[in-house]
Amino acid sequence: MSNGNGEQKGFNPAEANVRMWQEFMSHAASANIPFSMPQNLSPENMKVMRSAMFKAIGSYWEEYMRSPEFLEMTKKSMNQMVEMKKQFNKVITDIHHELHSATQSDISDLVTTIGHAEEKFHESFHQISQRLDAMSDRLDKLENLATPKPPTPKTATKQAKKTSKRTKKTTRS
Amino acid sequence: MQAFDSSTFTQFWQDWSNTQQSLMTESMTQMKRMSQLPFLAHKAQRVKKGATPSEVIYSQDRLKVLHYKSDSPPKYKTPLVFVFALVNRPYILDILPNKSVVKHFVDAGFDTYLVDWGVPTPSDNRLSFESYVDGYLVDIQKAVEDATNTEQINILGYCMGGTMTSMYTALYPEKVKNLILLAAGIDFETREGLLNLWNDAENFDVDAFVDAYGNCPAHFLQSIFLMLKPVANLLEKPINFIENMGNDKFVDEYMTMETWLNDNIPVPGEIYREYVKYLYQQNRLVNDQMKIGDRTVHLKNITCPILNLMASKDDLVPASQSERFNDLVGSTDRESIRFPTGHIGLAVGSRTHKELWPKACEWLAKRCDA
Repeated sequence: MSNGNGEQKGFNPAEANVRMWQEFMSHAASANIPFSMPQNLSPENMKVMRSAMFKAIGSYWEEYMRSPEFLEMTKKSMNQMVEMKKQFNKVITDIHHELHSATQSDISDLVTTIGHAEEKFHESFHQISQRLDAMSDRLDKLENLATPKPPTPKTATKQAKKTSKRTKKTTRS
Repeated sequence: MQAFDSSTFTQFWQDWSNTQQSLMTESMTQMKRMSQLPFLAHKAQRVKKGATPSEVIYSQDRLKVLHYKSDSPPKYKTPLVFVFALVNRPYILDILPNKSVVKHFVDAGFDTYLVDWGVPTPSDNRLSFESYVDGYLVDIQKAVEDATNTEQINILGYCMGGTMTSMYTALYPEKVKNLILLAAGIDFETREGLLNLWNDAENFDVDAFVDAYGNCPAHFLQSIFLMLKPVANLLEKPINFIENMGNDKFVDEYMTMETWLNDNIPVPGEIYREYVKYLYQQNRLVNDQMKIGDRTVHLKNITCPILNLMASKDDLVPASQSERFNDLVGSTDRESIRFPTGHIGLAVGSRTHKELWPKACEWLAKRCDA
């Protein structure tokens, strides 16, 4: 059985069996049915007893399914199941290949190849897109350098002031 | 030899008569139950999958986004999207008119959508967390935004859907207005649940399993779920059913639930491998080590209001697996509710529909603009 910290101890069937009966008795006792009187054995009371029994068996099973013995057994049967499936797959693949038909693994390989090709395409497109962006940026910069900037309102007034000063100077002289 | 005692004879006669009467009553009840047998197959075929009328507004590969129709226009601007797990089908959230989570929100005035991931085929075995979180969920958000002309959505993620939507919200915090998690696995440190123990690296070689099977088979998942509570699932439930075979309402609800429980679907292999390996075995999400593509998921990035709903009797995702989420996010507005029910009870329990869902609707309504 596993405790809360994940530590496990072996499953003792005798102890677990005793615990199961103890649990059953405690559930039955908590139902408060006086079993000494035969007339109290009504279907409803018997259902309560049955439910108590199932609860106790359920706890017993849960304890067993947490035990290292059960986990080891499950692991072994799972490994065998996987091994059998592998062998079965191999036989089926061989038969298909003998009949020159496609198998699940062939289709799977094809899907992988297509997936890889798709990834490469994506990467290439991404690279092309990045290069196009960079080229577009450079072109924008070049365009900005090539075309003279139209005067902004501020520079226009400055230039106007300068020219007016110059004209004033020339008139004075 | 003892003399014949008349009182003993009377007592014996009375006991014998009582026994005969009990036997007769029990036989009649049994016959009444058995008379229902020919109708069971018909009832099983009649089970409807989904109670609220809906239309498909978006589909991609196997997935579909359903929009639930309402008689009145939505009261709230931000739409609500339900994101279900990849295990089982999402109609559990809208299974019966009196047990529909979806209906609560539709009736409360939310423009409601649901993601049905569909049934994966063997060729989908390469779908990973990246494909779902950084692929499909992004496209779904865009589709809902286009349909509603909004820039944000409210999300309700159930179970594994909650895990995925928490990753999505951490990667795209600006896209999510409010996040509701319903029994979502976040912190896998706990060993409270059997699944956590069985999925330990020393007990389960998930790589070998996925390599051999491709997708995780539906029957494997079904048997694991049955094994979590073998006595309840294999003994108590059938006995309970036999005893209530004469009760039409019980049989209808039982058939609906069983149809859903047995409607298992495979889980794409890669995401199953990542779920077991990175979350159950390495607990990467809470340690800021979970990678989606080349980005790391930081739960601290989640800043929207959070409502974390947990079931205290959950044997699939124990409450301890979800409750730490509120401490890990960056949100200041965060609330959690532990409800005394099981994992499926959160969606179909009578008490949850009376108490929990009206409360959840109210919580969301307070945080949405009309």
